[in-house]
Amino acid sequence: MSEVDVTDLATRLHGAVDDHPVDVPNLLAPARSRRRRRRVLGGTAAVAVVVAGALVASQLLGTAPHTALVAATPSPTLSASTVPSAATLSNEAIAARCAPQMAKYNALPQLPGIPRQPGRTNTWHVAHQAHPYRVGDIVAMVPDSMDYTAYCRIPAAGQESVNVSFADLEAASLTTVDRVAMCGESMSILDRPTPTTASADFPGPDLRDATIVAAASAGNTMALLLSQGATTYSCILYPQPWLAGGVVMYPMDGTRALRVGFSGFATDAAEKSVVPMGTYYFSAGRLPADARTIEITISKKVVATVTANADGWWVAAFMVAGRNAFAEPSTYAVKDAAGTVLKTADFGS
Amino acid sequence: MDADAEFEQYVADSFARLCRTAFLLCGDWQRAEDAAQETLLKMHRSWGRIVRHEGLDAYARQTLVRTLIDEWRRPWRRREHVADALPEASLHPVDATTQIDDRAQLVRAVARLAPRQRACVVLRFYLDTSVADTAAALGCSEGNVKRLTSDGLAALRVVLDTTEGSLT
Repeated sequence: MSEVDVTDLATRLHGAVDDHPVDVPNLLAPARSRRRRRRVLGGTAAVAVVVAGALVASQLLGTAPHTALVAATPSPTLSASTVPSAATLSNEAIAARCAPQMAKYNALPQLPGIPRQPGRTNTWHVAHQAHPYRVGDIVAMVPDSMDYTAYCRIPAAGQESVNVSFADLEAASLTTVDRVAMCGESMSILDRPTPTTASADFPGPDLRDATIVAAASAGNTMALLLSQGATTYSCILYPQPWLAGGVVMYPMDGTRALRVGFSGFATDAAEKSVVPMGTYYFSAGRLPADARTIEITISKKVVATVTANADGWWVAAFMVAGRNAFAEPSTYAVKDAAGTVLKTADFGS
Repeated sequence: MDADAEFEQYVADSFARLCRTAFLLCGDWQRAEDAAQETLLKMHRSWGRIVRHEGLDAYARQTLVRTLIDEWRRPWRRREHVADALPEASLHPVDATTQIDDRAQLVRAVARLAPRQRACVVLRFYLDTSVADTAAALGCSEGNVKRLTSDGLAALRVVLDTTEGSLT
């Protein structure tokens, strides 16, 4: 692109948005309120209690790569990480035991905010100080910059040097109980503590007693729907150390709707060692009672069919291999149990 | 001027610019306003330190971009919308029968870029940010910024050439 083009681009970018009216909000009051609220949360965060008993849908979690779907009928099991006799570890003990495992993250060149000078390493902090952890649990760790999430499987004393690879932390390598627990290790940069805070106190529910409602996988990613109490959570487990990686978890409102939209990622060559190249799509929701399946079509080809469970919940994860498919025509059709089409539309409509 | 007064003044001076930058990054005015507000609220938490050590505009750029990158990484961005549209969902090919003005076409073309390419193009050419400052905002090397920018411009040219014949 020539200099003339670039100059023109700058002009056109300004022309595209600069005359859009923007009302300036009063942010001082909410800013003060948020500061007060964070103090309150910090003061009560240490009282959380772990309850054992995640439910399993393991037969449904081995979904073949590049496909969607799952509606699960869970059966119960206990988490090995919540055996009553196991002692809860302090955050300091966890950080110390996990330090050797964090070395593999320190070496990654793509992580923002991580010092890369020779000989320097990060100090890693337990991200959810309020979550009780025991030996064998997977715990989210954040560096001083709190810009990236890493994971550690807490070793027993004397076992700190045992290698835990990135592959060991992928969904396919985890037990169902660990997958559920890992969803509770999610966090958002939007909740990032102030950089001056010495350690991390990201908010987020401990989901170790949640039930898997549905699950789906695409490549080495996995999407789950979890139920805990009255709340259903969507969760995606990404392979490590994908830049987009870690865990993304959200509570859902349970509204039944025919509308279907997807979010996702188009990978590029730089990521091919971590994930198969392609466009990854994820979504979840709850269909009306009369609706049963969602057929997804990209570039006139059906790429996935998702079936809702008896309560209407559905989750989808699929991958279109080899290219950025976001710009291609993408539609869905919602059908009832008899195959009658209830709605067809473009994604998000 | 005390810190709160400084904050209010900065909000008044910068909100529109942050909001418009965010729109170019995400293509949605509501999300853009959310991101601009979130950026400024985060800044309030550490106002004194930012003023003393980091510089307001640099911190705002970094926080805005990282806030939106975090959003892009969220498969379900808003809890109240079970299945929101893709960040790139507005990228459907231009319908030749639909009249689309130049501005919408440019915004759509920018939206088709990969997120970090998009961030580089917007920071470099809308905010006129230096390579070094763009690298700081994205948390990557200057070399990466140059590559992402070059790739983004090339991709942008392809998209605009396809839809209008040429960028200029």
